[in-house]
Amino acid sequence: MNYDALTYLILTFGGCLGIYQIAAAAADLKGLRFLSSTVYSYVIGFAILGATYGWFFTCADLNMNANDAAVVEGHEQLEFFLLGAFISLIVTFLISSLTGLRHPKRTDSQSVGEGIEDLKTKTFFQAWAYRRKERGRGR
Amino acid sequence: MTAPDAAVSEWITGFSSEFSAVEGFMSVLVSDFFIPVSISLYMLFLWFGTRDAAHRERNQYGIMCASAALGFACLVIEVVNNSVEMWARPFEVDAGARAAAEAIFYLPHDPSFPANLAGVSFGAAMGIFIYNRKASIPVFVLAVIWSVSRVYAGVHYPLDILGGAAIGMVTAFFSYGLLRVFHFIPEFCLNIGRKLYLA
Repeated sequence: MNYDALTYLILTFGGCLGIYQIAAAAADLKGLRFLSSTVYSYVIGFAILGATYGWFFTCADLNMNANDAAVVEGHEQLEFFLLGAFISLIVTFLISSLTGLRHPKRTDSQSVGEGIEDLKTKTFFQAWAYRRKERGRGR
Repeated sequence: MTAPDAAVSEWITGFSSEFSAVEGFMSVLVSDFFIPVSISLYMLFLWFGTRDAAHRERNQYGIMCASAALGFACLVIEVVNNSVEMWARPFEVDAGARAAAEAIFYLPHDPSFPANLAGVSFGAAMGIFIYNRKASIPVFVLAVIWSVSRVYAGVHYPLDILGGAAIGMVTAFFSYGLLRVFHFIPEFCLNIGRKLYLA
């Protein structure tokens, strides 16, 4: 992968990783947080976002699209952003599920199948396993 | 051919030689990355970061409308760029604008009118505005900052920006109409998203 494309991908990955934590804190999505505290989730989210922005906008070549062989303009920019958002989402699901094992937030009485709402009480893998179990009971 | 608002553009670009200390800051604002990535991250925040489920769904419709709008805006601008050549970029006709562009940005080769950045950013802002007026304010602010910074850098005339913004806003309403007529498409996307804990 081209160096400019890689730096942009890191920007989108770090930015999205931070935003997921800020969004999880704002929407009370406990199952998406790395840490159980809302305040710490905001802190870690803004820290990741700030560090990524700080690194990119001081170290990267901001005029990387000046040459004719530019690889981070137009639709490529969107594609790299979506890739960064996807990778950071997987990482968020993994880390929040691992830390959630230490602080389980299961409330099995809650309904399942409501998408993001389920992540208010369960981690991604807890919600997924619970949904499978409920479907098994329904058969 | 020179744009009819060239004098306004020269006046704005003239500030770049007076405040050279802010060049580093302006080069970040004017870049291809700071504002578009910030708008995208804000849209991502709106998608996930709302506590109330009904309110969140409204925001998600806004994001889908904004995404469609900026896609259509790019398409329309591409067509206009390839079919009509209105005028040269400011840095091609004015030495001050050239100095500003070389100092804080680069010299793009594509046509000046209509401005792609304005189409994309104002299209996204209007798409969100249709569903949630309050939530669209930061995107409008970022769109205005980006637009002014490009005029300041001598790569666009204000008319380029107005043309792009108009296209972006029209495509936002067009996207809204499409989402209403083909309502099963956003509903299908949200249902898939719910299954994957993404909506």
